[in-house]
Amino acid sequence: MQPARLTEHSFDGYPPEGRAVATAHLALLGELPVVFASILLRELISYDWKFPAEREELDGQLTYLQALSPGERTKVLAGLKSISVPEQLERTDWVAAPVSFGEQLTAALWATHQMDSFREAANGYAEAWRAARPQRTPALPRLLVVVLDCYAAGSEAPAPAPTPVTFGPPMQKLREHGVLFTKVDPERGMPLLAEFLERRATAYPAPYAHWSITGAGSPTNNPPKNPPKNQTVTSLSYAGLAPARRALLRRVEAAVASGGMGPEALRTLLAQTTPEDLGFPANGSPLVDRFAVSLLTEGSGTQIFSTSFVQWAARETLRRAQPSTLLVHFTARQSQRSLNEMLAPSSVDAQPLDPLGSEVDAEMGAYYTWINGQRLPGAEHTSFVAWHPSSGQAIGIGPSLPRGTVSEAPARLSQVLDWSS
Amino acid sequence: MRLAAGTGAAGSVFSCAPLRALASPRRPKTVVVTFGGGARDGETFSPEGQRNIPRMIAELIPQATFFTQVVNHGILGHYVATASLATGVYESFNNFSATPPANPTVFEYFRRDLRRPETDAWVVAPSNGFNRIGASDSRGYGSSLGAGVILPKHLLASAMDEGAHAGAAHLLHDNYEDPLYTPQLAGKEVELQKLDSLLKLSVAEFTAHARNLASPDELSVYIARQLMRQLAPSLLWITLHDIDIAHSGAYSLYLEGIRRSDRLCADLWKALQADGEYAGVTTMVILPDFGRDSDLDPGGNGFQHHRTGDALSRTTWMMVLGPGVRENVVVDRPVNSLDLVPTLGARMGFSPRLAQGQPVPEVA
Repeated sequence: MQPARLTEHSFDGYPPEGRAVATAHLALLGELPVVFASILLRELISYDWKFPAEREELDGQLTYLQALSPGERTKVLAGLKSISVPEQLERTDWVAAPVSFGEQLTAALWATHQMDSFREAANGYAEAWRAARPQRTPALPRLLVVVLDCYAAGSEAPAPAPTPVTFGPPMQKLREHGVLFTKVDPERGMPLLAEFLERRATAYPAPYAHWSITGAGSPTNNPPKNPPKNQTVTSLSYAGLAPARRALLRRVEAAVASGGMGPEALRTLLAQTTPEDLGFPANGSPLVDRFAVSLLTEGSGTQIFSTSFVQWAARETLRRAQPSTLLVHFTARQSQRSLNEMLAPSSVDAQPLDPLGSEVDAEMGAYYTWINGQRLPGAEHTSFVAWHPSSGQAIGIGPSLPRGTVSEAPARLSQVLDWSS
Repeated sequence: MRLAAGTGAAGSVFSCAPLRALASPRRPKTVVVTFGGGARDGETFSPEGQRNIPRMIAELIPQATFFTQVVNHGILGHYVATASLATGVYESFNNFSATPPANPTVFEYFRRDLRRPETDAWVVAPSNGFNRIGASDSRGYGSSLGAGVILPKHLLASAMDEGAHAGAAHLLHDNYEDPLYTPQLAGKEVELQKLDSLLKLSVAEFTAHARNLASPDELSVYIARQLMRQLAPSLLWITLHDIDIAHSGAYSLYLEGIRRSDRLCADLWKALQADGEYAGVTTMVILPDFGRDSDLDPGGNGFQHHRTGDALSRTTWMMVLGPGVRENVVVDRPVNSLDLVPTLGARMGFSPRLAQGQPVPEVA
């Protein structure tokens, strides 16, 4: 189907708000190349479950495209228009199933050696959009706090590491951007951080602006004793999602056991999974529940390793919700066993744990969280703290802190937060 | 029946090597080791990455010509990319399908031009998807000229009774790229026949040894060394895969995979130098099939995948060691990954007519 043949009824299967946005931009959608129209529809079909920042971004792009003259639009989208879509694929119902179409399009781009051209065209469009959109600096400078807590998750007074920990390359990469504090008094540790998050959320309330993500999730690796209580804090925990993870693995196990399901079909099944399928309570938050399901179905390794879950959840929270405050708490993941064993529904809370390997995972996760924070508007004002309780060290990065320096003076955790933010 | 037959053959393990005698002792030989699970410079040859490959740095690099930029312009999926390396043409089939390459493989060129028997070219590959990599369906070539393919995990699963996988389950997972997808293994008879008749290895011995191995790659190298002992093939292609655990998002496990590959490559080179059939006549080529995504590409998630097609995911390195190869030489110019097969052709004396790369002059 060609975009020019789109009608209002093309979006009958869309949720109400997404349908309204799509029909309001029907003329625009009809003029876009199939590749780009399908990408936009992939976003619009889930518009009803998008966070405010995502909606603003999508609305902004539609407004930008609408405002371009036909000539300008042709120029901005020329690269994407030059991408050749196999006729057979173009005949599929990409309007009703843009996610599935996207999967097949990706495979076709690789197979026809167009991935590099697509990448270049997509980057070209993104640059044009970035240059044209109004620069927004968040009213509240963003604060990201990462806790590398793989030896003493959730304890109020973290125990010393059983073996000396040497910060590896990821932390070294962070160090060049801020101050390494070598003697940090943890004070009350995680509860202090949770209270700090709550205070910010209370002082600057906004929907989905303040988040807490924790990997705590096993009998010896309990969730924090004082999780944020403030309703304006959105919380996700690997432990809290154990029933959903178990349900997901059962679903996959049943699908694979039924036979004849290849990777593509399995991915489609995962993409269609809803919170109800995984047993989420009916009275939950539709947006957060959908988001949690997406973390488990689109993330790789998020079903089996708490460190992978926390890293991916932090990445997706930053990309989608663009929060003002994000508290990320890495804890020990399970030790590696065979993937078949780890993917068994019965192993959701498996032991033993691998704190040493988790430290390495968490260090990289901290580095990636900082990078992902740098991609957001107002990055130059963003503050970042990575705290490593078992070594008593922390790194603070922020506009008021010098880069690539070391402070060996004793400092309290609350001071590091204040100096960084 | 096959299990019983295999067990009964226990006494013949390592006892003789009748097929090995067929191999001409001083012909040039080549061992290619690819890492199916790309490794980035940042975790390997960059200053901060060298801690993960101490033996390559200390033992292999001083004996090697090292290419710092090997660029793969093809599809970044492990089977299709490895098939492209083996044909010298960018193949474009579905990475997850059991499809033979469309273009002749290095094994077919080698066997046809040099009139070598089927026992002289082998592939040891990591997962079910690779079972068609030994031969193309190209006209004039095909399976009668292809390499024997051994899938060690397939072999192990076949050798073990149902329910007895517990001690070796860590060796059996098929692929990391789709961790939720675990296809069933099949084809028991053919594989067990190979175990007994070609490798002179009993089922009991094989499974007992496998239980003591830490990873699928160790199992692959164990099988490769068994092939060397029994058949001494002139062309042996080993694809390692442990590194691809990176898809699970656990950086520490990705690093462990790199460190294990480092050890296995160094051990393999050492074994080649200690083997009378291989010492002094063997070229060893080591290269990842491609890289992994950059930390800085917003379309990816760093080391975890190889989906963006960015420069880092397309660029990797290659190390060549062996007779006539200049030692401790670094080549910084870009080389195409399709150049591998023409280079091997130039060194071994066969003509890869349909390959699209060019021999790399520094080692051809």
